[in-house]
Amino acid sequence: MEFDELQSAWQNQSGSGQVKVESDALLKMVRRNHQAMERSYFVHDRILAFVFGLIYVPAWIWLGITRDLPWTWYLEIPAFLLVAGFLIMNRMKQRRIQPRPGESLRTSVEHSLAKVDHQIRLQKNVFWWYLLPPWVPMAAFFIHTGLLVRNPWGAAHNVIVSGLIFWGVYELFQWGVRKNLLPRREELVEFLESLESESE
Amino acid sequence: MQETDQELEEQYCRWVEDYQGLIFRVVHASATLPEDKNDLFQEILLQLWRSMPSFEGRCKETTWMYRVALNTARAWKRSEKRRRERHEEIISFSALQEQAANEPNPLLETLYEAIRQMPAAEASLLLLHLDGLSYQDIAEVIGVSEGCVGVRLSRARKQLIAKMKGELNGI
Repeated sequence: MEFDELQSAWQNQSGSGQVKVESDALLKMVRRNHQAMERSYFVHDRILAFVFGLIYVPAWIWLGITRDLPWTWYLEIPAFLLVAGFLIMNRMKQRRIQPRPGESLRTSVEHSLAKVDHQIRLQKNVFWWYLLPPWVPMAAFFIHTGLLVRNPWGAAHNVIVSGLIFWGVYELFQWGVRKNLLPRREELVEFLESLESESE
Repeated sequence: MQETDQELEEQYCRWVEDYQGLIFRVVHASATLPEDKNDLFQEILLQLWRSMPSFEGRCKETTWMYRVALNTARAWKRSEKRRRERHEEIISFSALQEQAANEPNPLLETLYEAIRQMPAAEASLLLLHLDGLSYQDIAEVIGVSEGCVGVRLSRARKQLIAKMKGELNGI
């Protein structure tokens, strides 16, 4: 078997550009799909701001007022806003490094790799930007209320349990890195190396 | 060069009409299940539409088409299907496939299967080579030197022939 034989069979295959395209219907559908996609990006980008700004923070304040909780309860609010702000900034950055459909295959893979590297960095450092900011005010609140009711052991128990829960979340993120992101990165590096070898 | 919306729309319709065979081959060489093929096909048509405003004529139309189709196929993920399931069918992939199925060709089916089994970079190179693109055009689509294309292709061709022999002996 020769390659030319395969190439000739390939180039003679049917199913190549024989379906008549109805321009109006085609444009209507593609515009509708494009709008649906843009809408889903828009919703994803703003859902965090909505959840934190309009649900979490007001609910937190409402709980604090109705249950007459001490001032340390409200320390959690700046932490919420910090995490939400970080997440929104990150989504904006990710959109910027997104591969573009018309770039060369190599450039597209390089952009995908940059995006995966960014996600790995983000998830490896999840402790600093996602877990520590809300945990510190939470621990402060537990200690404060423990001292107010003269129950230091109860406070210590709450701090340790919340710490363990946060550690579990951290491990979950690291598992995600090992399970999904590192294999994806390896795949992309392999792809890139196979394109680049002997390219010079 | 700034193009009006109407010009872009006309260009898009012409591209879809002219290059649906190219998209069909990329899709068929990238996905196995019929629903995946249809999903990828719709995604390529959508990405082509999104890419239109950034096409500035610095490369050939075919180069742009191959880039869009191959990049979309490479980045296509089954996990995003849920979002795309809400999309409407732009052109039915099965309509294209029915035409191909009118003349079943076991050699071609085996060839597609062999390409699907190749590493992604080799599969892309072979697809472009089988379509008859010159080394220069392949280099432009992929983004590497012509020398690299030559070396990679000679290896990929050997691998493909070996795979094809193995597959056809098994039939």
